[in-house]
Parts: sequence; C-alpha cells; structure tokens
Amino acid sequence: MAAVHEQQAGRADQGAALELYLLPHPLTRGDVVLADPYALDELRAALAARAPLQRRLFSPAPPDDLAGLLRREQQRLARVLRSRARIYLARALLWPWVGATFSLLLLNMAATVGEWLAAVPLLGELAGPIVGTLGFVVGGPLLALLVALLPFLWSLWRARRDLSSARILYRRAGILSHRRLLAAPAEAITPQQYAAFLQEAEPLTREFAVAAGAALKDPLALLAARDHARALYRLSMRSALYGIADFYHELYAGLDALARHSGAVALPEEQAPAVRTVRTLARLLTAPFRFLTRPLRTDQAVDVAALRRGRLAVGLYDLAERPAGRRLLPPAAVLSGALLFGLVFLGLGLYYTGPNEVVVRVPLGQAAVPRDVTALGAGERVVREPGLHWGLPAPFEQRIHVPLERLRGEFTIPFRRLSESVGLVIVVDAELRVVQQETWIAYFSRARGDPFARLNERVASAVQQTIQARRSDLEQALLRENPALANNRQELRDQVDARLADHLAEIIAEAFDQLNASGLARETGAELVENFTYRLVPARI
Amino acid sequence: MSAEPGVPAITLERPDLFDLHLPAAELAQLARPERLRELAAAAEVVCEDGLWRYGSPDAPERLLLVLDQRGYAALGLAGALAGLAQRGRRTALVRQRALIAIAAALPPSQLCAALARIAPTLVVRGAVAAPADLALFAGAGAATVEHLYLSPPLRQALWERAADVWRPVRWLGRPTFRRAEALLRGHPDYRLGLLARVHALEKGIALFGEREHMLHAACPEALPGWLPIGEGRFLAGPLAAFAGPADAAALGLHRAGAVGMTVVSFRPAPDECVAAWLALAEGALLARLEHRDEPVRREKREGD
Repeated sequence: MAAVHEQQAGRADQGAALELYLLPHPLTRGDVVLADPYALDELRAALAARAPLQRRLFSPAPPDDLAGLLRREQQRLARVLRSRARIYLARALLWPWVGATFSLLLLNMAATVGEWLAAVPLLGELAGPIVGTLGFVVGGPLLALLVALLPFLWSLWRARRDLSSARILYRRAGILSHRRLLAAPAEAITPQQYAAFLQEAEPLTREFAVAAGAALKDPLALLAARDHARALYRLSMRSALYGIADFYHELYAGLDALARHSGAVALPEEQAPAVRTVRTLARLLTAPFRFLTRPLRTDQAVDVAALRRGRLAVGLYDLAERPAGRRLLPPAAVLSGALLFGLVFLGLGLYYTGPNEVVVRVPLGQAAVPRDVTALGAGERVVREPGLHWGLPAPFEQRIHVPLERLRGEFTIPFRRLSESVGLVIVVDAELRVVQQETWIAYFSRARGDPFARLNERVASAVQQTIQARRSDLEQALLRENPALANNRQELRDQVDARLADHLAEIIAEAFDQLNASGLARETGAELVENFTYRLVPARI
Repeated sequence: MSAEPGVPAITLERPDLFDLHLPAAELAQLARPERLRELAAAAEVVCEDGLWRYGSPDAPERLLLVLDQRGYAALGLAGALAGLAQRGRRTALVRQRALIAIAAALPPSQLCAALARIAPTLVVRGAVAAPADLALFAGAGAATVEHLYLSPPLRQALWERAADVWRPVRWLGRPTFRRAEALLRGHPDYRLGLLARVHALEKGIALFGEREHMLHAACPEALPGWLPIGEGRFLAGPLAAFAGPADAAALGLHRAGAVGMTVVSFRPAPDECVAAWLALAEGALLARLEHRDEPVRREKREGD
C-alpha cells in the first residue's frame, strides 16, 4: 500500500495536465470544449504537491486566444460542476426534513394502522399490537424509539451520501478554477488520430443535430439521435479518445433511457404482466412526487427541459454556454423541507372535539408517570369546547378523547374450566354511566382510553365472588335433594354450574350493584348500568 | 389500422440464422474445407483473410463472432454457415441491416486488424470453461461474461460494492440479482444479454441457472473475477478490468466500443458448445436488431 502511495506521489511530482477537447457542438453551430470531469481528480494530487501543471487543448487548429478560451471554458466547466453539486447539496438538505416528517407520521399513524391491522383475521391479532405500538410490546421503549426514528436515521444516511457527492463535485470545480491551473501554460495540439476522428465525426454530428432537434416530437428521430450518439461513442473508442467516449456514451445512455421512458421503443416482455401492472400503477401514483422533485434528480438521463430549449445536458456534461447556476436550489430545498414538515406537523395537530366528549391533552413525559387515578396531572389540560382545535402532535403531546355520556364495552369473566387450557368465559356487554365528570375524565385518561380493560379484573372478581357465594348455597340445596351426589363431586359441580348458568343475569346484576355500592363512582366517576347482555363462550384460559 | 407516415412498414420476425441442433458427426462432416466452401457459396458468405463475412458492408449492426477454441472453431463455422445457407431468403432482412463476420481460428494480430476493419457493434467469443470449473459446474449450461462500457461513477459503484453485488440475494430460496440490476438498469446495453439468454432458452439450449448460481455463491473463488449480474450472466469484474483486455470480447469493447460477450460453455461436448455459442450470438444480434427497432406504432382509431 505504501508503495502505491509513493508511486502516486511520484507521479504527482512529475506534474499533470488538464486535457480538453475542442469538438463541433452536437446541437448547434460552432464548437464546444469538453473535459472529462472524472479525470480531474488526478490533478488534485499534482496541485497538492505543487507540481508543474499544464493545459492541453485537442483541437483541429490552434485558436486565436488559446489562454482566454481555456480560462473561459475552465470557468464554465467549474460552473457546471458547482451547479450539479448544488443539486446534491439541496438533496442532502432536504433529506433530514423528509425523514423527520416520515418519523412524525409514523408516530401519529401507527396506532390507527395497528387498529386496522388488528382487524385482519389470523395474523392481525399478532401484528396489530406490534405495529400499533411500533414494536413496544415485543422490544420495549428502546425498540419503539428505534422504529420511530428509523425513517429519520435512513434520511440522515441518504443525506450523508448526497453530501459526499456534493463535496466531490465542489472539489472538482475547485480544481478547475484553481488559480494555478488557470495560470498554467497552455498548448493546442492536433494528434493525427484526433484529426481523423473529427473528420469522421463531422457528418455523424450533423445528422445527430438534425435528429436531436426533432427527438422530442418524433420517436423515429429520437431513435436516430440515440443511434448517432452510439456511433459517435464507438468512433471515439476506435480512436482511443476515452475522455470524449464517455461523453458520447452518456449521451447514448441518456437518449436510450428517454426512448424507453417515452414509449418510443417497444420494450420486450422482460417482466410478468402482474409485475408490469404493479410498476405502472406505482409510476402513476408517484408521478406528482416525481414531478415536484424533478429539479433534484441526479440520474444520468438527458435533461429534457434543456433539450426543449435547444441545449444539451446529460449527467455531468452540460454544453450550455452559460449553464444554470442553481444557486437558489439549496435554500429552496431547505424551505420546501421545512414547509413539508410544518404542514404535516400542523395537520397532525388538528383534532375535533364532539359535543358529548372532552379531550385530555397529556404532555410528553406526563403519561408515563403513574399518579392518582382520580385527578389529572399538573401539565394536563382538558378541552371542553366542541369544535376544531389544534395541539401539538405525538410524541410531544398525547390526546385522549373522553366520552361524557354512556359508554359500552365488554368484560371477560372466567366461569368454568373445561380442560387444562380451555374453559367457558362470560362475556358481558356492559354500559358505564358517567356520574362525576371530573373523576371520570381523570380515570378515563389514566386508563389510556379503555376503562373496561382497567375495570375488568375488579368486575370479574366481584362476579366470581357472587358466583362462589351462590355455589355454596346451591351445593347444599342439591345435596339435600339428592344426598348421593356427595359421592360424585363432578356430577354435583356440573349440576351446580348448570343452575348457575341459568341465573347469570341475576348474578351479574348483583355484582354490579355491589360494585356501585362499594364506591365505584367515587373512584372512577362512573357507575355500571344494569342494561347489559351476556353470553357464555369457550375460550383459552 | 394504418402505420404513421414515416414509419417503415416492415415487421421484423425473429428469423433463425444459424443451425443450432446439428449433431457432432454431421458438424464434423460439414467442417471439411470443401464443404465449408460450398456452404459459403450457397449462403453468399465471403471469406477474406480468415474472416467469413455475411451481409451488407454498410449495415449499422455488425456482429463479430470469434471462434478461437482449438478444434471447435471449424465446427462452429460449419453450424453458422449451414444455417445461413439454408435460410438465405428468410434472413434477407438481417442481410440488409446486419453484417455477420465469423473469425474462425484467427491469430490475435489478425483479430485486431479484423476489429479495425469490421468495426463491430457486437463481439461474441465462444469459449469452453476451464477444466476445474467444468468439474465443479458439471452439467451446467452456457454462461455469458459481458463486457460493457462502464462510466467512471458506475464502475466505481460496482467495484466499491462488489462485495455486496457479488453474491446473489436469495428470495424464497431463489437467487436474485437486485443489487447489480439496480446499478446497471440504466445501462443501454444491459438488456442485450438478457434477451440473448431468452432467445437461447427458447431454442432449447441449456444455460447456467439458479442451481449453479447458488453453488457459485457458496464457492465464489471458482469463477474468479466474474461479477454476477443476472441469471447465467456475469460482468468481467475489476480483476479483468485491471488486467486489461485479455479476451476477444474485451478487446472488442476497448478497440471498437462494441458490446463484448464471452459465451462460456460448461458442457465440453462439441455440438453442445457450438449450439450455445451460436444461439447466444444469434439472440444478441436479433435482440439488437429488434432493439434498434420499430418505434411503437400507435394505432389510429377510425376517424382520427
């Protein structure tokens, strides 16, 4: 490795030359100077080593003002590279906003998506809570945080890549406009192969110009332009002019891509029809997004807008006399990103309070702290006015919609074991009536919007106690009726359960009364209403 | 339905050019010099300096088929000429639009001269895998090693990410080449190898497939410097690029800007080798001719 560095350093000490090619302009009259933008990196070492530099122009005849021409062209090429670098810089500045927006959307929409997913049979029960809680149920807060931040981290990685590309292009532009290179001795040379190349390329270039002029209107002309670009690439390869072969190949690739995307070429059946349909749909759906982000595209396609104006730009090669500077692109990207984030932030903050409900706004961090269930926390606010409101979206604030009238839900109470893992459970569809609003609001918000889940254990305990009390009485009564049952406990239990099942409505009503009398309303702000239904269902217990 | 004005009213059918399924004994019969001369005369093939030429000298598409495998070159030439001789009329359109040059057992110096003279757009070289690879991939069909012009950023991306691209990604147990495809999708000549492969499969040629790719993924040192870019398709890797053009197909790329394709047969039987070389060469040329192609004809409705 050290030997390679020494070799490179040795080469740099010997000096380096900037090679430029004077070519007939592919689209218009006159000439254009072309430099291989990828070869500029080699000059960097020579500049750093303060080695002698030279500028060489391959041209059919020496121009009148060689130094002036080279200076102008170097500055023009540097402008092209800076302009391209600004696209990458703009992308790098936009990515974090996009990532933050997606993270915000993920945090706010995950619960809803989880609920939808939970409704899907089979997998939904498992996947719904995982998606809805961003993995909290399987990995805890660390995983949830990581999942929520995933889009943002991904965007930072993309931004880093674009920033690196921008830095490389700025560096190349810096090399071209370096004062030592601008002042380096210049010479015009015409090797035999170059003269032969120009002679052979002239008719091809003329035909290319005609075809490219009509390429956007006529598919045949587009294909002809592509074929001429390929012919010019092959000609430059045959002449061993690799610096310009790359330009013509980019042109060929760009026009080929244009022909394919515009439908000028009948593409062969490369994909299954279903895949093609999905891709077409995806293209249609993402068309507005692609239209909006067109100024930020960095692929190697031909710039159609430029071609429409009679200019030729493909990849890093922009042949415009005064290429676009794109100075406003990075600030515009920051503004657009901020606007996108702001709009999503504002949109997610909007909420509606119905006439029979209030909304409790729980600030970040408050919800995690266990407190008294009968009172709201210090930072929590209750919004009572019906209508449209705005508050901070998650994770900065959590909003809980608390119904103030009647609320229906289900309690699940184990009734009888049938086997080791399966039993009968009583599913009670019950109703809660709010009697003390403030306590109810606090209780509901502590229960994370599901008071039935929170009350389930208490209700189940009350019902089971009532069942147990009745069971003893029933057993005594049955034994009095049929003393033989004393020797058959299973039969006794079956008969008791059968009689209990017939009186479940009474039992549940009695349990509800007991709960209401024991101060349920004082704790929760609501009481259980006797307007309930129940059913016995087998379930895993 | 009527064609738009200016669109040539021709439809390009997929003509067969070469005889792909001749048995080895018959190929050997046809490969005798006097029979080759007869076939060449029947197919209107001109032989100059060891180069057999068919088609228009001004044709835009130019295939150079290099058969330098000792012992098989004459057989390959016989298969190609037999097909062209039989199907003279049916290949008239190809004759107008393409030039096919076959270099059979040509020394390297003459090959360079042929490249300069023909200026091919497509160079296909037929080869047989090395004995060690033949043993490892016994029974596998033919694979193609493609030599495409790679722009510096694409080359850098491919070489930098070679370790990622190297092994095919498995999806439901099948190898896929999504990483390589993502990088090469925009390359104008990337589809050519795919279409050649589709053509060869249609002709019943055995090709390097999924099983062999999984074997290669497990043992990548078996085919050093081969970068998998699709099923049965490889790109000459950084090692080959560093070593310079050491193959007629690579030479075609560097000297003439042609798309180079080395067809490597993993079946040593002469008739199978010849069939694979000719089928993939034929497929690539026909794909190129279709590719240059008819623009999509938009059907006009009545009253338009």
